Amino acid sequence: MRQPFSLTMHSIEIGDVVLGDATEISDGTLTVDVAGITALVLEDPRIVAVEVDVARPGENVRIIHCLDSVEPRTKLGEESLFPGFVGEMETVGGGETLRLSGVNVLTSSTFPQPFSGLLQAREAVVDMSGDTAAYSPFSRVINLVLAFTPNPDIENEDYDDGIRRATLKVAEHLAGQVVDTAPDDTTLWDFSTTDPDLPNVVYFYQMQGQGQMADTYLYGRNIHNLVPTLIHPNEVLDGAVVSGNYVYACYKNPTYLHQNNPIIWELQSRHGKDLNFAGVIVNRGHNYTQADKERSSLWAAKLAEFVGADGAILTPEGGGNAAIDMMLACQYMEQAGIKTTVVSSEAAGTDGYDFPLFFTVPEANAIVTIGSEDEIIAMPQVDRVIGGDTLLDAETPAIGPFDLKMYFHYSGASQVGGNVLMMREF
Amino acid sequence: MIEKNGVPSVLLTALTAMAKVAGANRIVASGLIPHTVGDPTRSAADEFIWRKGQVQKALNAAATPIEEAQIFADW
Amino acid sequence: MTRIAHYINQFFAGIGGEDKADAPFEIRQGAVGPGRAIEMALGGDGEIVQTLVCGDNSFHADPDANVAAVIAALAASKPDLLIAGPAFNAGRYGLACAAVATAATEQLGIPAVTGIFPEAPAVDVYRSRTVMVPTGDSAGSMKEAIEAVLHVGLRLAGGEPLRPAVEDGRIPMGYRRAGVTDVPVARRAAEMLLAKLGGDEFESEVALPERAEPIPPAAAVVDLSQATVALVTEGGLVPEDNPDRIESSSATKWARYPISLLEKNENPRFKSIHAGYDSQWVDDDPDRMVPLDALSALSADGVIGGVHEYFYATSGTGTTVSHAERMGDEIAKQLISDGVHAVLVTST
Repeated sequence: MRQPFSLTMHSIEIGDVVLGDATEISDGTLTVDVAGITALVLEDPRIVAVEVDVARPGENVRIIHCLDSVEPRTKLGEESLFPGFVGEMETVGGGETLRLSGVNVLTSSTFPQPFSGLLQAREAVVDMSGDTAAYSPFSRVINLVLAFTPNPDIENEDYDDGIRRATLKVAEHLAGQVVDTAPDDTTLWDFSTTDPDLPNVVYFYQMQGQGQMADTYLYGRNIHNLVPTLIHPNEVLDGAVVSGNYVYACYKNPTYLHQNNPIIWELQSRHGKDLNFAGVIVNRGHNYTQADKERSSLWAAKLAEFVGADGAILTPEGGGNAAIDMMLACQYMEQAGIKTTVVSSEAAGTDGYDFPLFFTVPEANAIVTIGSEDEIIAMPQVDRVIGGDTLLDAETPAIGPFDLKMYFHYSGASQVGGNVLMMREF
Repeated sequence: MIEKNGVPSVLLTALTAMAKVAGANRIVASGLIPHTVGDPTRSAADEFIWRKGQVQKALNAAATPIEEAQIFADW
Repeated sequence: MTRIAHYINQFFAGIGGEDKADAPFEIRQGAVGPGRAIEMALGGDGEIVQTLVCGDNSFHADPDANVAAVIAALAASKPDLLIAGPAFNAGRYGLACAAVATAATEQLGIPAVTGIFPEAPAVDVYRSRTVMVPTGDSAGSMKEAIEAVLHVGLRLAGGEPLRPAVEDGRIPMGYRRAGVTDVPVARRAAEMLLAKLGGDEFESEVALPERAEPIPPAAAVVDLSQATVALVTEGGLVPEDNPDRIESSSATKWARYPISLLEKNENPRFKSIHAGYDSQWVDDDPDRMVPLDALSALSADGVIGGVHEYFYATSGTGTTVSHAERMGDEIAKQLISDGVHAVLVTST
C-alpha cells in the first residue's frame, strides 16, 4: 500500500488522434486501435455496440447525448487507478501516473428505458467549432468519442454501470499502451513541505450526489450520506472521484474535470509560492432540509478550521440548491475567521436583467462567476453530428439550426472552472 | 408580496434560509423539498395526522403577532 | 461614409435658451451646432445628414407626437446611426434624447447612442432600453463626450454588437451575458482569495444584492375560528393538462383552481409541472404539496372559519424575482378582494 502523499505526474502532450490498428504515439499523434477498444467495450454484454470516432477542435462537428468524459491515464507501477471500478480498492494518489494530455474519452449514448422524474440523463451538447464552441470546454480537447448502443433489455442503472466501467477501462487502456513514450512534462505532487509564512488554503469541493444519474462516486461508492471529509488532492488525480452525473449538462463535472480539476491544479501550482495547499474537503450538495444543509456546512467549516486553513476556495456542483449549501459553508468559514472565495454560476433570466444569484450570504463578498444557465444560444447548422440524428426530445434534428438553453451545453458552466466563460455586465 | 398587502401569510418550506432571504416573515420549516407537507415514510393515516399538525403549526404562526421575520422550527 | 442623424434641443441649435424651450419640432439639413464638432471628429468618415431639433418644453408637452415626428423624419432619411445630445446633466433634454433614441431603435431598428451624465434623471428611466455613454455634467466636456459617443456609435452603425459596458465605455444597460475570458476561473479565484488574505483590494464579479427593505409582518389573525384561509403553492400543482399553460420553469403565469376540483382529483387529476423537484410523491397525493385534506379537516373541527374556495398555483423554479413579485402582488389583490384572512403558502 502506498499513501497518496507523493505522486509523480508524467504528461504526454497529444496533438492529434487518429483511428488505426494499434495504440501508439508518434510525434505527438496518438493512434488508437479501434478493434482493440471495441473488443474491450463489448466484453460487457450490457453494451451491444460501440462506434469509435474522433472530433477535433475546429472541426465542424457537433457531439450530442454526452455523458461522462475521462482523460487517459495509467499507473507506472502496481498501484490502483479508478479504485472500485477499474483498479483494486486501495488508497490511490501515490507512485507515478502517466496521462495523455489533450485527449478526452467522451461517452455518448441514450439509455435503454424511458426516464421520468427529476433524475434523468438530459441532453448535453458540444460544438467543436464556431462561436458556439465557447459553451463547452470539451471543444478544446481532442475527443475520442465512444458512441454506445445499449442492450435494450436492461435497466438504466445497470446500463449506466456498464458504460462507466467500459469508459474507464478504455481510458486506462489507452495510456497503458504507450507507457514507453517519453513524457513532455514531469511534475511532483507533494505538499508535505509547507512554508509558515504563507497562508494555508483549503479547497471546499462540493460534488453532486442526488441519486442515480446525478451521482458522483468516491472510491467507487456514491456520496449520498457523505459528511464533509478530508482527502488529499493526489487522490483525485488517480480517479478516486468518478462522475455519474447527467442531470444538467452545464453544471456537471465529468470525471475529466475531476482528474483535471482546475482549482486543484491551480492550488498545486501555487503551493510553496504564494500559499500552502492544505487539503481538500469533499462534500455533497443538495442536502434536503435546512437542518441537513446546516449540518453539512457547519461540518465543512469545522474541518477547515481543524486543518488550520487561513483561506478557502469553494465550488458547488449544480444549480441554486447546491449553491445554498456552499454559501452556508462560506458563511460559517468566514465567521470562523477563514477568508473565502466562492465560484458561482448565474441565473439572470433569459434577457439577463434579473439578479444573478439564487442565494447569497452577506459574507460572500468575493465571488467568481461563470456562465448563466438561462441564456439561450443559437446553435448553427453543422456538417456532422456524432451520437444521433435528433436531440433527446426525439424531434429536433441535431444537425441544426436550433436554439439551446445554456442548461444543455456540456460543462459550459462548470463551477470548478472547466470552461472559459465569465459573466459580464452590458 | 401577499404580506405587503396586509394579509398574514405563512410559508411552509424545507428551505427556511432561502425563505428568510426571500423576505418571508412567518416561516414554518416543514417536510422535504419534494413534499413540503408530505411524509411518504409514514402510513397514509399517520401522514395525514402529521400533515394536520404541520398545517396547525402554520395556522398558529398566522395567529402569532411578530415584530420581524421568524422561523417556526420543525425539529 | 456613415450617415448620421442628430437630435438636439433649442439651445444647442442656437435658437435660444430657456426662453425658447417651447420651440417646435423642426428638421434641418446637415450639421447644426455641436453636429459640426461631431463631423470634425469624424474627419470625413461620416456626415450628419439631418439634424432634428425640438425645444425641451415643447417635446414634453406632447412626447408621442414629437417622437412620431422624429420617427417619420428618420424613416425618410434612413441614417446608419442616430446620435442624441450629448445632453450632459440636463433633465428634460436628457429625457427627450433617451426617448427619441429608444424609439429609433425599437421602431426602426436604427442604432442610437445618447451622451448623458450618469446621474441625470433619464439614465435610470431608459438605461435598459437604449445605449447611453457617460459624459461630464456640462458642455465644457463636449469634445470628450463626442469622442465617447462616436467610439460606440460607429461600431453599432457598422453592425457590430455591444461589448461589455466597461469595454465599450458605456453606462451599463443592466443585463449580464456570458463571454469568453482568457483568465481561467481557478486563477481568478486564487488571485481574489490571495488579495483578500493579504488585505488588498479586490472586486467581486457579482456584487451582493442590497438587502431589500424588510416587509413588516402583517398583523396576526385575531380569531382563527372566524378566518377564511387560502392555500397558495409554488410547487406547480395544476390540472394534468395544464390548461393555463403555467411554465415548468421561469414561470410568468399563475392560476387558481376550485378546491372542489382538487379534492375530487379525478378528471382532471392534479399533477406537478414544476421542473425543479422530483414530483412523484406529490403526483401520487397532491395533499403533500397543497394540504387541502388537512386544512379542510381543521375547518370541520372549527379551528378555522373556512377554507377559501380556490387554491393558487405557480411554478417556483428559475422564476425571476420581478415575475415572482408581480405574481405575488396579483394573487394578493385577488385574495384580498375575496375576503381571505390568512394564507398558507407551500414552497419546494
